[in-house]
Amino acid sequence: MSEFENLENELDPRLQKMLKAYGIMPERNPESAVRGKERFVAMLNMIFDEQTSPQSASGWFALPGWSSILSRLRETFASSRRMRAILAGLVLLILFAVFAFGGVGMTVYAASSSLPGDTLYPLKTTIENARAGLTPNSASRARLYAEYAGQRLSEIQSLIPEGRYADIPRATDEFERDIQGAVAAVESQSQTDPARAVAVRAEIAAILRGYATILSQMLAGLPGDVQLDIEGAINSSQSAAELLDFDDDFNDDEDDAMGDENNDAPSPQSGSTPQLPGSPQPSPEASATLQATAIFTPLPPATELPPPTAIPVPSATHAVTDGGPVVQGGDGTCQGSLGAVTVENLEVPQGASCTLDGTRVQGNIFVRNGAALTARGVTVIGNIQAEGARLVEVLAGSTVGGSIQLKQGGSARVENVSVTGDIQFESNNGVLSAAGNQVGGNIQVFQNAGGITIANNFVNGNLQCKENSPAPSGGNNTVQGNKEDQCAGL
Amino acid sequence: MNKSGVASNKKALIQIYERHSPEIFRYAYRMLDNQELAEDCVADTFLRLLIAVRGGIVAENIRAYLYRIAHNWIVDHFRRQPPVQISLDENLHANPEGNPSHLVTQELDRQRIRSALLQLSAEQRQVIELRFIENCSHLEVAAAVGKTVEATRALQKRAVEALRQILAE
Repeated sequence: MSEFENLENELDPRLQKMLKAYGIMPERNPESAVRGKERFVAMLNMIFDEQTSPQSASGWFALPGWSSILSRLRETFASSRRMRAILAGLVLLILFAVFAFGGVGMTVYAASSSLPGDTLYPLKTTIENARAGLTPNSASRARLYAEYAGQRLSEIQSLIPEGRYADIPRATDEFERDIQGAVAAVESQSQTDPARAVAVRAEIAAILRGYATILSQMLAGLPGDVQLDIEGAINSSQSAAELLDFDDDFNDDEDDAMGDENNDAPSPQSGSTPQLPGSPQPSPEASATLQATAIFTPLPPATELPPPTAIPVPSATHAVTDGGPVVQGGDGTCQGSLGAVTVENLEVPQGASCTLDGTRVQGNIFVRNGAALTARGVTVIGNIQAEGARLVEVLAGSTVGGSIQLKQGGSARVENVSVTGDIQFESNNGVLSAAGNQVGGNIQVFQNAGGITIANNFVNGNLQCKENSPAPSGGNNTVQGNKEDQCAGL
Repeated sequence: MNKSGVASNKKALIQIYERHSPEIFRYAYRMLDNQELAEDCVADTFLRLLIAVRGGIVAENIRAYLYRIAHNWIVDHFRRQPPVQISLDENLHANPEGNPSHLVTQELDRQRIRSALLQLSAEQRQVIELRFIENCSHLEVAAAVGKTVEATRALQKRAVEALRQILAE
């Protein structure tokens, strides 16, 4: 008998003892602890004292007040790497506040030229996202995101000669996020002003093709894993351009009256600070900008949607929500964009496009024939199932409690997602990618014809690939079970 | 906000720091295996808390919220820089007043479980850490990992089973 008894969910005494030993920690260095608290109190005072200081009478974020804070912070926090990191965080807060709340004249000094891996880089992207989020016009927002994507290319071009290959994935991640932002903005424009959207579509698609070409020229001489990242960005750029072209044709047949400009799509970025239960509603100004363009149509209670097949869906619970409004009425369809709301089951109808950002789905998502789904930061308790879909993207920050099952469709990306069950690609003819995922079950890739990249995944079960042409590429997958057949070397 | 309100908020935030920074440090240190990085994580976690509070975000469960921020920080760190598999400094763990043989056994247990935990997924490890080492409630763990309580229980069950299997090998 094993020394570890099987006591279901409870810990047996031996395991308990080992965990107890593991839990014993060295004393925290008292000096570090004291310094940590001093820094915290200093930051607290800087931020909260400024709130009530006379010189900020015109508002918290009036520039003179924040500038004075910055000077004081420089004096206080310039003595070590960690101190400078804290300072960078505060600068981020200050500059974000200035941009987000209308302060003017602030020089975006070092951050604007920072590169991925630099301390100030998060500040740069945060400011960009704030600007995009506060740009109500969809066409302008699409161009802004395209411009940001171009900046990512410049960053990659700067990183390569410096040999900073480890920082390139961050740039490609941001690049792909920017592309998604541009596509989402174009989709939004298509719904509010289809006539003008045609030109914007063509413009953005051309830019994205140009980016793919530029990226292709960077590949030579790079290490293999960096090439994979760049190739992923190329694929994303090309897929997005194709999607825009496809939608252009498709939307000729669509109903034009889908909403108005005031109901614009949200920024695809959700900040690094999670929104927790009990969070206050955004200000009216912010709401006007961030309101989703959801064409959310409640379905009748007796839905014809099939039940989940892979993992039983637990009963709905609201014990933990993401702070968004709960859409009453359960199941629905999605055309357009849906933000941080909670729904039961969700269907993307035939031929429709749906963008989800921070959405919580208590049941399953079904993507129908010819439909497109882009989901970022979503929580799906059940499965994501698609059959005949033209595009399915499940991206960073998403959690799927069941499985992702994509069959007989076009292109698909599942990247940086936590999937409790399986990821299954079967008989798809577009470009596929499964990268950076945590998979509780298996990754199964069968009979796909458009090429698939499988890289940097953690797979608790098996990685199984059969009868794909071309054979899957990629690597650096950590697989607890077996790597089988065409994926044996990945 | 008037001055008394600000003072009250500041006092509350300092109390939150005093109460939770030690456990966030422990959590970060176990995950990162590096004191200085753990201090960085603590500093950044609480900075983000200040930013969140400043932005009007009020967490319902502050403890879970802090663990979540810290965990995201750690995941970001590992994404940028894969962890180096080095042993914890044994000297840091030795209790000079303890029984030597007991300490050796304890240290062996600790190294064995640490090695096993490193083989779990990040999410499984997080649940084990929070539930059994930091003694968080199911609700707190669920809020920290961003799942329902039911899903977290299931995750915990799988994590314990996986851990047991690894240790039995």
